[in-house]
Amino acid sequence: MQDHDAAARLAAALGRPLDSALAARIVALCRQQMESVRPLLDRVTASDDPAHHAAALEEMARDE
Amino acid sequence: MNDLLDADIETAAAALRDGAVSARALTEAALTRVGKIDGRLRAFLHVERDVALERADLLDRARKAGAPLGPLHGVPLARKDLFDRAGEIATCGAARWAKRRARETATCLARLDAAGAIDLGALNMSEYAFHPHGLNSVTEPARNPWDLARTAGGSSGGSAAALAARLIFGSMGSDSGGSIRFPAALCGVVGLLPTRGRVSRQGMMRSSPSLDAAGPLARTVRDCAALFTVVAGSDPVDPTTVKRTFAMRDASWRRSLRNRRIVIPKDKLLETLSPAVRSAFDAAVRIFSGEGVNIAAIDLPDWDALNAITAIVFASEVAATHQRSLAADPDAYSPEVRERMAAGLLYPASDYLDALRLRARLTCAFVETVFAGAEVLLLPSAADVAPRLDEVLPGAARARYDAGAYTLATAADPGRFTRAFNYLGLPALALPAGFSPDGLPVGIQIAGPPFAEATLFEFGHAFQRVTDHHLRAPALATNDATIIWRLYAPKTPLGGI
Repeated sequence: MQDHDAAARLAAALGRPLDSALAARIVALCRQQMESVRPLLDRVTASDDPAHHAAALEEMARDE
Repeated sequence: MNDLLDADIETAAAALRDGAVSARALTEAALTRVGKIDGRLRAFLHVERDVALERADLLDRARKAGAPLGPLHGVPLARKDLFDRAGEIATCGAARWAKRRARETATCLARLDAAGAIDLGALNMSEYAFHPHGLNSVTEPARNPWDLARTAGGSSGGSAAALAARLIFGSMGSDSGGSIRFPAALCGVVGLLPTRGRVSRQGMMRSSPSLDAAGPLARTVRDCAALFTVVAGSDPVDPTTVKRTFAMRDASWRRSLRNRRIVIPKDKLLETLSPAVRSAFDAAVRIFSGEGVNIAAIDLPDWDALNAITAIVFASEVAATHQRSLAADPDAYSPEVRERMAAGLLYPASDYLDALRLRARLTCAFVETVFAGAEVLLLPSAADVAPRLDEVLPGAARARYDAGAYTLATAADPGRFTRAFNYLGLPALALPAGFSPDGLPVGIQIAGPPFAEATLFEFGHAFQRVTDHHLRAPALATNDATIIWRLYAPKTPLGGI
């Protein structure tokens, strides 16, 4: 998403234009955030499923 | 200790069971203290005095009639103002919901009721649980009882403040990235993020469905365990709950820590700690070591990335929850909350979904790495002590509020040590670990593998057996020492009072 598109989306969500400096800051932080997790997200495989998490917790439970 | 309001739940419950004090007397004393202190503290959003006293009378009559008494019989609690209580208003910290009356009672509150607790009312919180320092559109943020110029944290700030000020014995809070543990740390109380699915969220405001959790706050680890024992368990109307009950064995409270194992993060992760927090954390490590615990430092796998991925899931889900009402009525939100929420709309849906798809695998990897050779992980709850309110709220002269910094995992991120556990679904217990030179509380966290709450309580209680941080009360509470215990002196002496 281009910066101006992102800023426009923020403005639409907020029902009004956003202070341009603040919008730029938010967009930059979101982009930085995505870049920091990209290597992690790239590990996803076709078999990964959000529904597996609850089962994984049960499987890893230790006797109390 | 000359004031039963300063006692722990076990002591208060024993006094109530024995008839040494009536539920009405203890409830009146708590309400009197609320009346004296809370104008300055702002821990409560509304106090349900008449309902609480009626309930106290009912419980007193039941005791006199010889009816079976619950484990929390007559103990005054309160709730974060995002849990529904039938017939009462639940604002969720939002002026827009100032007249919204709940039709049903949240499951966890119903369980506390069944255990005999008395609910004094609704506690202050951040608007839609979406601000780390309690900003809301209903009233001022809750103040920190240790220094009224400072934040109590958020989003369960009212809960932590009320506990530290000895207004109540426990509270239900919610935690989507640290909202129980962060204010617990800043106010010097105990708070638990339970394993995902342990506690029903029926009747609790939904914000980030993948991360939201309900959990107890209290002044001691044992009190926290007592509340957790009551509220934990499956709920047929919340399909995300697991079919597990919880009970702490008596022997667990006395179990030695000798030759047991703790891991701590390597220094790199601790570099962002303030000197006061670092000092308290190092002292906590020494205390556990002195108890015979074997301690090893490890690299937490993918910690910063986990933190960031959790922030993306959180921001995306909160934005999705609120986007229609944001667009329809933006003025119903505080500008800072609105800006933070809107930022969540910028993340691509495919990345959000991938973050959730990876959750099981990343959790397995984390558990296998961190808990392969240790029962628990010890780490700080927050990087610093409570900041001054004028430094963190909008309009601050010294630091303009930065929407991004609180939405995302940055160096200024208050959730740096808490948030990832919500994504991983693992339990984490926050407890007081000391005080800064200025007398402000510092907190640590004990985290564990899935469903290891009993182990967290064991380690936490063992720490509280040899420390007294949890026994110290702020001057705000001690200056208000009432004479309730003299007025309602027990017929037989009770230990610990």
